[in-house]
Amino acid sequence: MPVLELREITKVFPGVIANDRVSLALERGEIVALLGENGAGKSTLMNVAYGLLSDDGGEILVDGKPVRIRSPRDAIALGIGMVHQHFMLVAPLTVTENIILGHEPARLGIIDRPKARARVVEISAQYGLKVDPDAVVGGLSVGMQQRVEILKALYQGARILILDEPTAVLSPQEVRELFGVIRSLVTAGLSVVLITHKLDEVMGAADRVVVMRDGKVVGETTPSQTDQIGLARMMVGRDVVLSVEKGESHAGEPRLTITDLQVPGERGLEALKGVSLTVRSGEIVGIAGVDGNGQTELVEAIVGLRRPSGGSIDLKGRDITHAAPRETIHAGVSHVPEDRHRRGLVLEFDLAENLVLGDHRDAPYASHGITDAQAISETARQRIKDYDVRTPSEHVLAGALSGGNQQKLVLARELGREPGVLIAAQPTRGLDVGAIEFVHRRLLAERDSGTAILLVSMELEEVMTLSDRILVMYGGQVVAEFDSADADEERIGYYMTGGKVAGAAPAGAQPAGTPDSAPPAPPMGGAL
Amino acid sequence: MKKSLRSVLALVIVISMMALVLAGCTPASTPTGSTTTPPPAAKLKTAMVTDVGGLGDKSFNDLSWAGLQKAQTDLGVSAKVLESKQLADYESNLTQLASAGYSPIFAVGFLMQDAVTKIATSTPNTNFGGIDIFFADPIPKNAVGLNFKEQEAGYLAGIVAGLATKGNFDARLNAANTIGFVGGIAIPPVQRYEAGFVAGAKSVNPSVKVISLYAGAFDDQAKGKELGLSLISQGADIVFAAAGQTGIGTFNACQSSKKALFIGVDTDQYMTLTNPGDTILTSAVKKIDTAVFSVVKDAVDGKFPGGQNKTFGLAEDGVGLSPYHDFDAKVPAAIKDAVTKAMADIKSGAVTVPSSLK
Amino acid sequence: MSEATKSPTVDAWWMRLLTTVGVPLLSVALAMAIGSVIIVFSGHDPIAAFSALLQGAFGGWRQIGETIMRATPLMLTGLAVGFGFRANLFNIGAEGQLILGSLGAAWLGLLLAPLPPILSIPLILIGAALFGAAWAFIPALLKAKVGAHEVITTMMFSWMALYLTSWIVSGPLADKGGIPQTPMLSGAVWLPTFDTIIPGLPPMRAHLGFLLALLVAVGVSLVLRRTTLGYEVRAVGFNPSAAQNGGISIPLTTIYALCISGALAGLAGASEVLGVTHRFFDQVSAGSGFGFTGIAVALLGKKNPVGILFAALLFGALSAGGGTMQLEADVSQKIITIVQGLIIFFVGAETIVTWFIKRRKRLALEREGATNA
Repeated sequence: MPVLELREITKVFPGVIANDRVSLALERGEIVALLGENGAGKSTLMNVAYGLLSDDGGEILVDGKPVRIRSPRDAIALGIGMVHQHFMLVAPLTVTENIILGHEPARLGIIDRPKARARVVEISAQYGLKVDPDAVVGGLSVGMQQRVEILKALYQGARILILDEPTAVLSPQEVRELFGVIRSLVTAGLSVVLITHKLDEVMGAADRVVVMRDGKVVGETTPSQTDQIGLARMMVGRDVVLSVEKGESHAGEPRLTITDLQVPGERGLEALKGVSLTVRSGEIVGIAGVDGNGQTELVEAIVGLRRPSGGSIDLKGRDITHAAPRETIHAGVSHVPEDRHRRGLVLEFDLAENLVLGDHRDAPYASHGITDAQAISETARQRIKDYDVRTPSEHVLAGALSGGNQQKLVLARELGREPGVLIAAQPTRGLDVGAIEFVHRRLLAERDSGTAILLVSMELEEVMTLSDRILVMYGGQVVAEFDSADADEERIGYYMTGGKVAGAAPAGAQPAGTPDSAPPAPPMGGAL
Repeated sequence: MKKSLRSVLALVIVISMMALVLAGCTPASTPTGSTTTPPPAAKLKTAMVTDVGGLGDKSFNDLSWAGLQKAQTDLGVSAKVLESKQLADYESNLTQLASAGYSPIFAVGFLMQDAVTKIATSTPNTNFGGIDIFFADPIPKNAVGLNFKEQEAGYLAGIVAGLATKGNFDARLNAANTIGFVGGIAIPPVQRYEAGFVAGAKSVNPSVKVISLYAGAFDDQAKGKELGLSLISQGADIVFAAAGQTGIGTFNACQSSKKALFIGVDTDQYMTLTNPGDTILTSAVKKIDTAVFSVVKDAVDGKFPGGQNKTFGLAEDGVGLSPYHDFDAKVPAAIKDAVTKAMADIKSGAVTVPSSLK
Repeated sequence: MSEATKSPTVDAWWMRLLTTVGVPLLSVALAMAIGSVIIVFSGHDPIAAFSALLQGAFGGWRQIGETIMRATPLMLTGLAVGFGFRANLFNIGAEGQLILGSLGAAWLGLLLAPLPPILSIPLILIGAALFGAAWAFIPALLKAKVGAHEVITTMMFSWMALYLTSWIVSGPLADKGGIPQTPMLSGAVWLPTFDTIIPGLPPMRAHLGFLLALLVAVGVSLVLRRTTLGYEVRAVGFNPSAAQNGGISIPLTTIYALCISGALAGLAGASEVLGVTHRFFDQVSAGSGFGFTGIAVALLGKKNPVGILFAALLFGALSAGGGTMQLEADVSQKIITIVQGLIIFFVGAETIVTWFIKRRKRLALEREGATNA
């Protein structure tokens, strides 16, 4: 008998059927991967099971008995726990305090701390989830915080654990440790639903795979019965190429030279502590790193959205350290922002209007302050064709497009300008496999035509696939540099976590003359 | 989509229910719906247009309406009132009444001067009265301006205040020998009240200190209270407010602080304020109702006094001082006598009250 | 956020029509219905009341003129507030800019009366617009430079306008006779009424300011649609982050947008002074509140110039018909205020409802998890 069974769950949002009669069964001691593109309805389904959303039809059975789950409280009482992508921890509290929050063991209204701590230590030992119960959560690494979330669910008595995209924020080492933990959990008799869109994780960790597309379950299989290509086909609904071919790079003159760049961050902390790097024409320089290590600030400083407090940014001999966005655009810097909804597009504008954003004041789109709708439309139609944006016309609102088409729109605008330098931040975030392939091809084509490209991505595989050189950022500094030929996940991952991850330091010196004999070493330029 | 449909449906239901309610209620109200039963041919149809203060201002709009209602009862004329919401309403309300055959029509308030002048000129067969309006020459033959010697009422109030602040018939009266005045907007009627008040007070108490403050509005009770408290903090133990609704705030200041007595304006405010007995000493009244009634009576008699500005003073029983009400027993005879004497002197012409401070 | 969820969201045409035109119409109908109930409870006949209202608003040329005359300032203030909305600015202080524009028109009208009208009237209008713009400039600057919220600052400037002009008309610019108002303007600078231009029309108060308002509406449409300024204003209004990334200066755009909004409010004041009152009264806004009603007009008109014209005409008709309703059905004019308030309430409620729907949608999509790499 399944420990958790969802039968014909239907969930409707205004205008969208997120779940269309979806059924899923989870056996005791099993890891089921719920695989699907973003927007396929995976998280919606699990949010229904966890009581965060109410269903519009269907039924839920726990241990074979029909149940009503109206809130997470109901779910927890039934032994269902969920760890979200965005952790819900209170930073200034300790690990123990966070874990017992909401279920504090109390005597006469006073929290029984020693008892709580003992219980936390006990659970943590039982499942091999090593964590210091007295550490302040704010000071823990992302991987550790995730452990705290899992411990919290276990503390509340979860027998069924739902993990929503758990690897999104982890380094490769942390991912491996996480899967180790999950293994030990199911060995101890728990059941796990793993929501993911990453094929390799599914192949490596799951006992069974349920694939969703467009709000429906489109297939079910096991890793032994299929491979990544087969899973991708089920997920997308057609054949996809998983990795693009990359030709030899022909790097030319330096286009973008950044020297000892310092940028203030929030709360007076320095977000960038002296970053130096060079991007030459015809090469892709990739920046690897865990989110929040200064990548965003670096990109924003280059394109003029953020004011550096020191250092310089040089564009082919022209100083653009303090240039406003308009000036950097004119100087030939294009920018694919990490958040296309917030920075990249005006969703309420139509495609044509979006395609001239940044050039809207210049000929032929405008003269003497009057816009030329004809010229804008013509260019828009051309770009839409060139970049294969799927739309009935250029007068459709950008907000009506799918994520992949929106990103194509951003690329069409930024590359259509024929920039000398392209800053691409998270260019495939949230895209499906097909759109990722398109973006990758375009970036490589752009490199081959001589553009200097700085690529920032949380997706290590993406950085490794596309880049000619790879820089690793940690704590607002460039801590290592690799030639793509010599890069491997292991060593990059080591630097991504600041060299703190358990295990020996990677063997061998780093190539390309990077002074990193004592990792994490000061970056090039020597500023610390 | 399903949700939006549902909400549209809900709205439709609500509307249909309302339609039902209407259908059910309408017949019941029709027989008594209209009060404008056509009068006999000989009967005059009188009307008035309020300023933006509207009815319920407990001041000149209400007083004018009281005059028309008295005429309705005593003289058998019909009476109608149109309220104005904005400046633009003055002219259209006057026009509508004129074309509906009303006459005389009273325009209440100085802001209506332009409008009533224009309509009086364009509809010469309708008579108009202007409350607080001083028509400029040439005055239309069908228009009469009704103005008041507010200074005379203010003078009497000044005598009461000037003597009372020296007295000790109430615990709130202090030794500061200071009294206060709160004005609404600095327009002539208000300034006349002020001038008379100051003159009256000084006539019986030459060393008295009179502090005047203006609110800049007739409808700002908060400001009225603020000014009242300010006067009290400067030692004023009697405050006279000629400020419409603003004055109600001033009254509240006197009442809540328990440090000053209040003198009302235009109407006997003892009748209109809430729990006034312990705070209101008297009111300087302006008998707009009497003036309106007299014009209607003249019109009924076929003697509409058009083509002039009429001024109503003590002699014409157009202004005065209200009873002391709850204070009647406390107010010393000396004050009452001084008021009586001043009234006689003004009526006889022995005293002329200045209409401005200069 | 991705192919799967987006494809079915294209609503049917009638749904779109309903949300753009239907909701305002529904709001008006609901407000009228509740107004009727109130009339019934006050012991009067709502059918007689509303037919008198219609008669007073559209019963003849004079009445239509009255409606237009009352709609004119609301069109201009509605456009003013609406323009601010487009840049995501809430110019709640259009009233203050209108007061300054009115005073500017009254002052320039006295000054420029000797010039031929063909010269003086345009100059007065431009001047009044500049007065309004100037009054919006400091709040705009404060918003652009230090982020002071325009709702607070423009409101404060409204009060300042009230007291400043109060002093000016009782002192430097006072008419003789002690009433706080400026002297009557010479007929040469009056905006002519339509009956003086078109033969055969009965005397009416609708004046050329109406044409001015129509021209301004067209102008605002063109600026928004066909100029780089309009493009930038809309971009900043929709998504300031993307606009900034596209090289648009948010501070500059904010200043432009708020000043243009102020200029339109100033024009509303000028149109009223030159066309209707022919002088500036102290407390000009008491009871009229064109600037505030303009907010309601802009909301009812869905921030769209054409919508704003119709919304202003509706409010103008309610205001014009109110007198007749009082006269013939004996229903207090205050019911009009109630109906207007209800319209605003329902339009506002719709905004709240759609905001909730959008928020739910967004939350759901966020949960669906598009943020991971």
